[in-house]
Amino acid sequence: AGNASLAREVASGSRVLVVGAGGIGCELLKNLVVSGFRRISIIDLDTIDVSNLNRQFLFRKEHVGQSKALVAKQSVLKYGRDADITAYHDSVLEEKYGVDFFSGFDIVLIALDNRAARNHVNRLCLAANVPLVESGSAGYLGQVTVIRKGVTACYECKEQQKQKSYPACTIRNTPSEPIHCVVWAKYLFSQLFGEADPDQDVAPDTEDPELSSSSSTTPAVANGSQANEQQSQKQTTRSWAEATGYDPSRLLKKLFADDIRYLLTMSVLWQRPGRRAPTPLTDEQLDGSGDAAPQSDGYQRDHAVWSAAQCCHVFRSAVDQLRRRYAERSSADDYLVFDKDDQAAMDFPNPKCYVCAPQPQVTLRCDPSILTVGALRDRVLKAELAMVAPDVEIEGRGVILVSSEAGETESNDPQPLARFGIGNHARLRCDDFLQRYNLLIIIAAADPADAEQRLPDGVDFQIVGDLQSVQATAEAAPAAAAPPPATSGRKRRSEAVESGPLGSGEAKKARLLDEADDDDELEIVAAPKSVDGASSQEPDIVLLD
Amino acid sequence: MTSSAVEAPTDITAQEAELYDRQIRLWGLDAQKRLRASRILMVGATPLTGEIAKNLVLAGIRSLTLMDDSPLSADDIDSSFIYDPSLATAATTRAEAALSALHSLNPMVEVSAKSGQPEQLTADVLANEDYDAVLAISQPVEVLQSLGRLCRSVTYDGEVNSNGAGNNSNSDSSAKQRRQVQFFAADCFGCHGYVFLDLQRHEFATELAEVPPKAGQDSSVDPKTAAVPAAGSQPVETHLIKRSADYADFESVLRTRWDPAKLGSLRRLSPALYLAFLLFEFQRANNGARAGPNDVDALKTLWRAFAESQQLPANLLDEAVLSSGLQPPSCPVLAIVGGVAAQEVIKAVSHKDDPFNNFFVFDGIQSCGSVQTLG
Repeated sequence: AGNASLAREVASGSRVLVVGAGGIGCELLKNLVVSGFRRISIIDLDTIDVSNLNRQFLFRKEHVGQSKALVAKQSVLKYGRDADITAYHDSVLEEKYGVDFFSGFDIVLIALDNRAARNHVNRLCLAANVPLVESGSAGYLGQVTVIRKGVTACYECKEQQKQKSYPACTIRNTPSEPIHCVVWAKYLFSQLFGEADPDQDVAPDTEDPELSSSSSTTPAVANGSQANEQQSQKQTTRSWAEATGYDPSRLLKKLFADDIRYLLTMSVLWQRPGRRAPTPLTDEQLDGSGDAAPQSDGYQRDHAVWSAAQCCHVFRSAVDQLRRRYAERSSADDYLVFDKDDQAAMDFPNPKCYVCAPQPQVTLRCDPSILTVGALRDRVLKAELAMVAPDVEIEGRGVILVSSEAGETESNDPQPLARFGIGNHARLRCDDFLQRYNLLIIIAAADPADAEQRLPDGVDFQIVGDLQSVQATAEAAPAAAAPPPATSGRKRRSEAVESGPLGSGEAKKARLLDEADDDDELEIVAAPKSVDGASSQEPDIVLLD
Repeated sequence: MTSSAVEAPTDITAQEAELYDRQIRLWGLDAQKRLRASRILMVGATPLTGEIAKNLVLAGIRSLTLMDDSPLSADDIDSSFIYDPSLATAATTRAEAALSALHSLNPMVEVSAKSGQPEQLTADVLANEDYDAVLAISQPVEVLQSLGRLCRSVTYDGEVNSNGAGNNSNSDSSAKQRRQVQFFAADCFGCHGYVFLDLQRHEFATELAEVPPKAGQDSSVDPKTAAVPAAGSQPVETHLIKRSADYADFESVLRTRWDPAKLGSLRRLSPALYLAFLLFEFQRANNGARAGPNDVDALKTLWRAFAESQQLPANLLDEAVLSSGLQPPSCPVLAIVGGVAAQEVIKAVSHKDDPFNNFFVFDGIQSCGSVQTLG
C-alpha cells in the first residue's frame, strides 16, 4: 500500500511531455491520466483522419480534420481527473522547443512516427539531461526504450536500420517487384507535380550500367517516336508534361507505350535470364472506354485487381484532378505534396508513402561571435568538407546565409555567425547542388569561460563527426546525362514555416519530416556510452584532429 | 466465426473499409469479416475488461455483452477510463456504467449489459445468444472452472454435448456449421497478469513466406548507382496455409505439476507464473476471495505447502514478488495485459495466425511476458 501511494504522489507532481498524439500517444495519455499524472504537455503537428479512428481512440468521427493534440487533451479531460494538460498543435522541431523547453520536464515520452523527430528529441533530451522513454510500433511489433544520459545508450548510439532504397536504373528500366512500381509512381508524382528532383526521374535511363556492359552501347533509336522526343531534346519530364498541358492521354501513351517500346530497344536488358520484358499497352487499352471505371469507392475499389483499361481510366482521372490542382497553385515556386490520405494522389497510381534521404551531419565547435560566414564557407565547407559551391541556409528560418550564386551574399562574408542569431545548437543546412550533397551542421558554441569546452589555442573551429563519410566525394556526381536546365528544381524554400494552423508551409514542413525519415546519421565519435556505468564525458565534445 | 471451411456471410461496407483500412492491411479482409460477425460475452466488467473491450470494439466485432451486476464504486472509476464518471453517485452496475464509453468508441458494434450471475449461464443460453467467445475477467477460480467446462459443452448446429438438448435460434442459420465456443480467462494482480486460452481444436490460416530460387544474377546489385542496393532484393512470396492446434481445458491446467527434476528451466520461468497459481490456490481455500495486501502471511504459508507438495524449492517465489502481486493493478499493467488478451481474442475469432497456447504471464517487475503450454 505504501508503494502505491508513493507512486501516486510522485506521479501527481511530475511534469511530463508526450511527443506525438497518434496511436501510441493516445494510449500513453490515457495511462498517464488514469495513473495519477497531473501536469502533462502533449505536442503533435498532425490533424485527425478517418483512418486513425480504428486505434487512436481519443478521436471520434466528428473530430476529423481537427488537431490531434487538442482533441486528445479534450477527450482525456472528460475522465474527470483534474489534470492540467497543455496541448501544442505544432512541430516539435520548431526552434521554440529548444533545450529550455525540454528542461522544464521531469520526463519525456516519445510517441512519434518518424526518425528525424526522434533524433531531434533524443538530442534535446540529452542536452537538457532529461530522461526519455522512446517507443514505436509497426504492425504487430513495437518497442520501448529508456534513455538516460550517461547511463544508457541514446537513441542514436546504435546505427538505426537503414530504410531500403533502390538503384535508379532498376526503377526506371527494369522494375521487377511491386515495391519498384510504388517507388516509380512516387517519383512520377514528384516529377509531374511535386518538387522535381533529377535523382527521381522516371524516363528510361540511358545511363543504365547494364547497357554499357555489353558491346551494344547505344540502343537503337526508333525513328520519330515520341519516346525519343524527350531524350533527344533533353527535357525533364516536368517540362515535357507542361508543354503538352498534362494531357492524360499523351502521358499515358508516353509512359506505358512509347517509353516501353524504347526500353525494348535496349535489347541487352531483356536478355538476362529470368527477367521478363515489358509489354507496351495497346491503343485499345490506352483509350479506356467510358464505363471502364473500377467499382465505386471503398474497399472493393482498392483491393480488386483492375484491368489495364480500368487502370488507364483511373490514371486519366487522377492526372486530370492533379493537373487542375497544380494549375491552381499559388505561385510558380509552389508544388504539390504527396499525401497518402489524398485520394487523387493515392490514385496516382496508388503508391504508398516511401522515402529514403541520407542526411549526413556534423557538429561544428566554434565561437559564433568570432567565426565569420566567409570562414565557414571557405575553411569549413570548402577546405575541410570538400564542397565546391555550397549554399547554406539557417534551418527553420529559411534564411540564406551563403549563396553559391555570385554576388548574392558577399556582404555576409566578414560578419560573425552570431550576427545572424546563430548560437549554440543552431542548425545550418548546407548543400552543394552540383555535387547533390546535403549536410547538416550543428553549432556547438564553445564557451570561452569554460576550461573544458574551450578550443585549443590557435584553433578556431573543430568538426566533430565521421569526416570520411561526410566529405563530398566524386561518387556523388550527378548520374543524369542532362545538365540541369536553367530553371531547375533548385527552389529555395525561402518562406518561413509558420507554426499553428496549417498552411501550405506546414505541409512542406511535414514533407520535410517525411523526407528526413531515413537519416543516415553519422555517429559522433565519442567514448563508448557505457550501459553499466556512467560516462562522464559529454558525447559531443570529443576532439578530432 | 465458424471453422475455416465456411465463408463469412456478408461483405463490408465502404464506411467500414475506410475505418478499418489500417488493420485490414495487417490481417486481411477475410479476418476482418470474421471479426465483424463475432459475438463476444465478457463475464466481469472490471478495469481490465475496459481495456480488452476497448480493443475489441475498435477492431469491429459484431457485438459485445458485459455481465457484471456489482455496483459501481469510486475505486472502479478511479482506476479506469471506461466507466462514465457522471454515474459515480447513481445506483448502477459496472457493466451498465461501461456501455456509453464503449458505444462511442465504435457505434457500429452492438454493446449491451446482461444481468445475472455467471452460475446462471447454461449451454442453451450461450447457444441461443450465439456467442463465439466467452471471456472470464478477474473471476474467481471456481467460476473459471465452471465457465471453461460450459464452453466446451456447447457445439452449435443444434448439438449440445452431454448437457441437455440444444435448441438454438440461429440468426444466420444458412452459414452456421459445427463450431465451438472459445474460452478465455484473464486477470491482473499487482503489477502482473495472466491470459489463458482454451480454443479446443482450433483451425486458422497463417502466412508462409518463401524465397523462390534465384534465376540468374540479381540485377539490383549495382556498384555505380548513388543509392545503396536493396538488401535481400529477391522477391519474397507469401501464401496462406491452414493449420490447426489443440488446446487443453482449464481443469487440466489447474492441475499442472512442475517437474522438480527440471529445476534449471523452472528457475527461468517468471515468478509471476507461480504467483498466479498460488493465488488460484488461495481462492480455492478462501471461498473465492481475492488475496490482498493483508494476506501476505497466509500466502507465504500456502506457498511453502504448495512448494513442498511438489518438491520445489521455496525460493522460486520470494516475498518481494509475492507482495508485488497484492496491490490493485496499475493502469499501464492493465493496458498491457488487456492489449495482449484482445490481440489473442482477435486472432482466435478471426482464425488468422496462431494464438498463444495457452498460458501467458506478464511480469511487471521484469517488464516481460512469456507463454507456457500447461496442462
